[in-house]
Formats: sequence, C-alpha cells, structure tokens
Amino acid sequence: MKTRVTALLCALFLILSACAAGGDADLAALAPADAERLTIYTSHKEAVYGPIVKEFEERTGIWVEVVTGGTGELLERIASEAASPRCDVMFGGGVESLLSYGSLFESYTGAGAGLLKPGLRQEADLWTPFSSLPVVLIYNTRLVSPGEVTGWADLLNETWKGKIAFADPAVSGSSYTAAITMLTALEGDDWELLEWFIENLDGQVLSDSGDVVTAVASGNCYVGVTLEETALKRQAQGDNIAIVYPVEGTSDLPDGTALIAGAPHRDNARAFLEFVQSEDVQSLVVSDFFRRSVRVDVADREDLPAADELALLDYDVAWASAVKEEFLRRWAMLNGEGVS
Amino acid sequence: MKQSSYRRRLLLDFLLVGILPLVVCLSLIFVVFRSTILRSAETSARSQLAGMTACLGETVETCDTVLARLGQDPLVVGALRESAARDTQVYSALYAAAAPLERGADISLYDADGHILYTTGGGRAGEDLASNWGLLALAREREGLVCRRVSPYDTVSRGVMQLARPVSEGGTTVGYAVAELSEEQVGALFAGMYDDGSEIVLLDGFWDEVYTSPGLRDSDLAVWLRTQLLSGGSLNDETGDAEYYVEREDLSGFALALRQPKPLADWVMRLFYIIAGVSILVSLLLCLRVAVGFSRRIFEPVSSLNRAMAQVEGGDLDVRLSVPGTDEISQLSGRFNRMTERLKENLNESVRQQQELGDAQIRMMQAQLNPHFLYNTLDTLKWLGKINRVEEVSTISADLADILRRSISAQEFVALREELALLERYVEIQKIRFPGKFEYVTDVAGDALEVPVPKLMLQPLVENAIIHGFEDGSHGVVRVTARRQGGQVVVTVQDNGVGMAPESVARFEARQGPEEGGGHFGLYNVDAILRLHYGQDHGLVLVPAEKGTCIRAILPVKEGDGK
Repeated sequence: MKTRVTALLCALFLILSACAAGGDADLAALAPADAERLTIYTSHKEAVYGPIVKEFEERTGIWVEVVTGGTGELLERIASEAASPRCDVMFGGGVESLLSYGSLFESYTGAGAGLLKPGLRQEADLWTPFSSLPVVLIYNTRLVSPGEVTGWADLLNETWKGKIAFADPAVSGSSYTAAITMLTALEGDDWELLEWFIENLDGQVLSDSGDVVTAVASGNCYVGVTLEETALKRQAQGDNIAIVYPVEGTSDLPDGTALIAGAPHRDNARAFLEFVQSEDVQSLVVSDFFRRSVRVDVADREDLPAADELALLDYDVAWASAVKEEFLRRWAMLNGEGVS
Repeated sequence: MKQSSYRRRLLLDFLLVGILPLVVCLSLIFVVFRSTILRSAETSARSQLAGMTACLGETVETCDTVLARLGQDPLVVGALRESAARDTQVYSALYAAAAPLERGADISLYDADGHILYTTGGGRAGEDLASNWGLLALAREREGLVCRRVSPYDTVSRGVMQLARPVSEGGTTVGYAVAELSEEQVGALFAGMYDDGSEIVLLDGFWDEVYTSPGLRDSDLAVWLRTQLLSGGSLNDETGDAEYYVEREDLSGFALALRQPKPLADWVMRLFYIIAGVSILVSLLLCLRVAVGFSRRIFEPVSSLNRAMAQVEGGDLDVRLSVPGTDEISQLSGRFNRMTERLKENLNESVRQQQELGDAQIRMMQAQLNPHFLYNTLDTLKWLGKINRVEEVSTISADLADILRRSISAQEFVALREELALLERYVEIQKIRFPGKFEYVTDVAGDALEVPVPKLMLQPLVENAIIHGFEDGSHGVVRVTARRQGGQVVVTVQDNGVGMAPESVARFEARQGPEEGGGHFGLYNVDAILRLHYGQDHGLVLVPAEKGTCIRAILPVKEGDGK
C-alpha cells in the first residue's frame, strides 16, 4: 500500500516537473563567446566610461562587462582576486593609488606611447595615462573679488579661517594629492605647514570631494580646493565659481588605465588600452569631459591656460605614497585636537 | 482500547480513501491546466516576437534600400561633395527615395564632416554629427550599413536608433545617408503586435536599451537582461512575475525582448488553492462524519454485546440484548439471547436434580438409623431362635441382619451378583412370611454377574411384585433375568400376578409420582435413582405382558466394568 502511494506521488512529481517553462535555451545561443568579452573595473562616472565603452564595443564587437566602484575598493578587489583574476582592465584611479597596487598590473606599451605628454607616462608602462587633472583653487565670485585669492599661501591666511572647503584626504584621493601639492609648493617645514593649514580649516573638513564645489557655490565656504575637471563641469552647469591656478604652481597628476596581470581576456584588454589613448577618445576627453588630454597631438580647450603656463611642480609620487600613512596620522591627530 | 484502535484505523482508512483520490485528481487537473496555459502562452509570445522581429527586419531592409539608393543618386553625391546649400532638386530626390518608408523613419544627408544638409525630419539645421566618433565613424569604417542606438549622452539627435550608409565617390567618402527612428516611430512599428499586458524592449547589438514600450520606462530591464546574458543566468525563474523571450534580428544585429506576464497570475493560483483547500476540507469533514457514523453503527452493538457477556461472566443470566434489525450484528444479539436462555434452563435443571438426589440420600440415611442396635438385636433373635429351636426366627434374623448390613454399606454400586445374593435373603424372609405364595426364579447370564448396578435396585422391584402382584392371595412366579447386550445389561423383573392398575401404569409413565397412600413407592424410587445415575433415558420401563407385570431396566455398562 505504502509503496504504491509513494510511486503515485513520484509519478505526479515527474509530470509536474516536466511542465517547466522553456525559453532559456535561446539566451545561451545569443550570449557572446568568451573570446568576445572584456571585463572592466572602473572608478569613472558613467558619463565618462559609458560613451567610451559603447564606442569600443561598436568598433571592435567585443562585449564589455563594466563593474563600478571606488578606486580603493576596486583595487582591493583586484588584489583579492589576484590568484584567478576576473577583471581585465582597471579603468580609472589616480596614479598614486595605481602605484601602490603596481604589482597587480602587467606593463603594456601602446602604439601611441610616443605621443604621450612627457611626465605623464609611467616609466615601466604599468598603466596608460587617461587624462591629466590639474589641482586648482576655486572661489565664490559673489563673496570673493578677483585677485583676492592667488595661490596656496592664501590657504594659510587667517582671512579665510573656517571658510575653506577641503575634503578629507583620508577619504578622497584627489584631496590628498591637493594637500601634498600644497606642501610641495610652499616653502618651509612640511609638518608645520600642515599644522597651520589644519588650524586655518578650523575643524571644517568635508567628507566628499564633490561637496567642495557645492560648499563654495552655496556660500558656506569662500574658497575651495578641487580638480580643474570638477570645477569646469560645475561652471558649465552654472555655478558661480571662479578658478584660480596657484601662482606657486600646481600638479597635474593623470589618472590611468591598467592591464591586470593574468587577465582572462588579455588581447581584448590591450585593444581597450589602445583605444583609450587613441586620438578619438582623447578628443572626447577634451570636448566632453572637461579634462586635459594626455596626447601631445590632441589640443586642450583653447579657453584654458596651456599646460606650460601652469607652473607645474615636480610632484614626487613615490614620496607622496611613502608619507601617506604619516600624513594621515598627523591629520587625524591635529584635526581631532582642532575640533575639541 | 481495542475498540478505539479499530475506530482510529477505520478513520484513517476512510481518510485515505476519501482524500487521496481527491488530491491526486486535483493535482492532475492542475498540471494539465497549467501546462496547457503555459504552452499556449509561450506559443503566442513566440509568434508575436517572431512577427515583430520580422517587422523590424523589414524596416531595416527598407531603410537600407533607401539609403543605398540615395548613395547611388548622382544628384545626391554631387550635393554632398560640394556641401551644397538646400537644393529643391535634391530634396525632391530625397523625398522620392524615402517614400517607401511611409514616414516610418526620417532620412537625412550629412556631408563628410558630419554637417547636416538635408533631412525629411523637422527643421534641424545645426544638428550635426561627429564624423570621427559614433555612427558616422563606424559607417565610414565599415563602408556599409551601420545600425546603432542613439547614445543617451547624445544631446543632438532626437531619435532612439540610427542607420547610416557612407556615400562614396571614387573611393572617398563624401557624405552619409542616415535614417533615424524616433521613439514614436519605433513604437508605431510594433504597435498592436503584442498583447496588452506584455511589454517589449528593443536592444542594440550589445544589449543596451534602444526602446522600451511605455510600461517599462525607467525600469532598468535592459540592464538586467544584459547582466543575465553575460553571466549565463536565466531569464525565467519560478519566482519572477513574468516570462521573457528574446529574438535577434540579423540585419541590424538588434535583439527584441518580449516580457509576458506570467500566464497563471497570482490570483488564479490563489483561487485554485482556495478551491482545492475547500474541497479537501469538505471531503475531510465528510470522511470524519461517515467514519464516526459507521463506527458507531458497528461498534456500539459490539460493545453492548461485550458488556452483556461480561455480565454473563459475572453470573447474571437475566441479561438480554435488544434486537433492532436483521443484520449480522442483530443476529448475533439474538443468538446471544437464546444462548443465555438455554444456559439458564440448564442451570435450573441441574439445581433441581441436585435437590432430588439430596432428598433420596436423606431418605436412605433415615433408613440406616441406628443399624448396630438392630444388628445386635437381630443377632440376639437369631440365637434365641437357635436355642429355642425355632428355625424360622433364626433364619429371618440372620437374613434381615445380612440385608441390613448390605444396605447400609457406603458403596453406591455393587456387583449384580451381590445384589442377587441380597435378593436371595429377602426372598427367604418373604417365603417364610408367605409360605407357598410364590416362586422365585433367577436367570442371570454369567457375563452379567459382575456388572455393577445401583445398590438395592432389585429388592424394591421384587417386593413390588410380591406385595402388589399377588395381593389377591393367588400363587405365582417372580422371575429375575439379566443379560449382557453389547455395552448394556438388560435386567428384567417379571411376575405373573394381577398386574398394575391401568391408571397406575399411566401415572407411572407420565412420571407423576406415587399417588397418596397408593403404594408403588419402591418403583418410583428405583426409577429416580436410575435416572439420576444413568440419565433421563435409563429409567424403568413397564413392558406390556399377557399376565402380571414386567419391569425392565436397561443400564449402560461402564467402561472397565463387567469382566
């Protein structure tokens, strides 16, 4: 009796399971082969990577899978996947960040390497520069008259105490670059300068680099430190801010694109590296992204000061990486005292 | 306890019989219903999708034809080469070429630098395209038809998809012919080709969204589809509320996805489950009710029978069961009633027999009163008779003493030989009392001598014959015969006297007991004793005789006796 019932139930179950809906078979047929794929980790915003990735797909027929995230987060992920990499290309990230994860990358010298602006190309070609990003000062045009702010020294001036928009360098890579640029530009003992600067911030530290322009444009702060790209973009959106290129000089660290060592789709990754430093993409960097090109044969926007007018400082990336821990420790300590 | 376990088993069986077929039927119905619906939904979705893909392919082909024709028109080539200003002749050629599209797409002509020169769309001067990026760059590179979605970052174009062909002259690209479809035009293309509840997504060659039907705007469905495609995931799972079907259009490389709501909506399933649940519940209750009723019909009579038997076991024979019908249980109850009745009758009978036996024993004991005194007296009489030479007194005393001794012995049965010896003594006395009145003859077979018979069974019969048979003073013969006949011994006492009065015979045969003051007590006593010892069938029989009385007793010889 019992076995008969069991048999009946089994038969019922078989009938039930035979009725599962189909349709997935077509999907597998449409999926691209592994050789037609590329996986990119990017810290760029979609407005930047979107058009480039799309154009790359259309031109090469390679399907690109994009994973987005913060620079540090993605580099950590690549490091954790180092044994069997999923990612082919790290697209984005400042050179300081890329340098500290240099062992994850495979060097690649693109066809256009010779046309890269001097100083932007990595010696070992561990990454390809994508765009150059000068650090600038901004001020609110309604609160500050032209000429009142001219350089880094003004940030130590008591006049602007508590009115400076500056992002936390522990969180924002560009903010750390800005701080190191300032220490490099100004004469004197670096740690004393840092102490003064923090005193002048008067405990006001923004948690995100995007907040700097907002704080200045809204009048919460009078002056701010940010990247040229960000400032130009917000200017184009109508924010009442002006850009100052510091008289003491500034840095124009590029962000880069790196080929991951052991990338599963190495050839496609190389094709992508070639593509991002191609003339077409570099033109787009200038025309659509408010950035500066890394190629000598692609002209920057005419309304911007030329690179050689920026009094570019000799920014020591290796040193910046080396002192980062010490810097952040002092930053946290001084800020902690400043707040309390 | 046994009863309740039967009840439970009965209930379980009823549930099995009542619920299982129902559940099986419901499941089968559900399976058939579901597979039919799903199959028909899938068929209709696939045919709709195929129709729309074909329609898209047709449109792309028509656009291609139109663009190709424009590229070969010398008028158009010339106008593009020179980046000529608006020329009505070129426009007329453009409209004529675009006619097959029936305004399903806008056709534009761009020069080599991407400047727009002519368009069938709205006045869009200055809506130029990049020539080194995107559509035109790709068209130049491919030297053929290019089909692309319009990038969401493209602030210039108004459409959602563009098709382009380079226009060449002598190997150099002089311009581009472009067809552009706006959201409305794409929507019109597929209008009415899919069900109301369904939605469609048009994907480009890399599965980025080109167009979605109005119900899916801002849904990110295209992103999900692409993720599933690249991760090798599934579009249709059990939990989702929709089924997805995808088909690729080969000319454009675009893919069309149809999103069809699950044909078995939640409420249908809920309704089905409710109906199934209710019918199972009803059937459950019915089973319970029937099982309880059934067990009551069977087990209540059984348990009352059980109770009645327990009462009988305790000695109460007056218990009776009601017999409500003619079914098996009622028959059983009737049989039980009859059985107890019979049992009670038997008990009464055996009590009565015990009483009778007791009475006879009492009578016999009374007859044994003070035997030693009587012995001694009789012994004295015997010796007195001898001393005084009165032989009769001496003989009578000796006989009487012997009779007395034998009759008071504790044995109930004696050998027939001994009974005959006692009878001899008795006859000797009676012969002295009634000299010459009768003759006594015995005729006993040798093999009957040792058969045990109840003590003193012959003496009352012989006495009856002597006293009643010859009471008129006549002379006669008393004959005692005994014969073995198989397992029985037949003892007959016969006289040739006056015989018994007919009423006495009738009375005896009816076993009505001796009449008051009438006599024949001995006869009745022997009859009673024989019946007590051997059973009702072994009493005395009055054998009809020509003269006198003939009394016969047929006694079974007990096993091991009578050697």
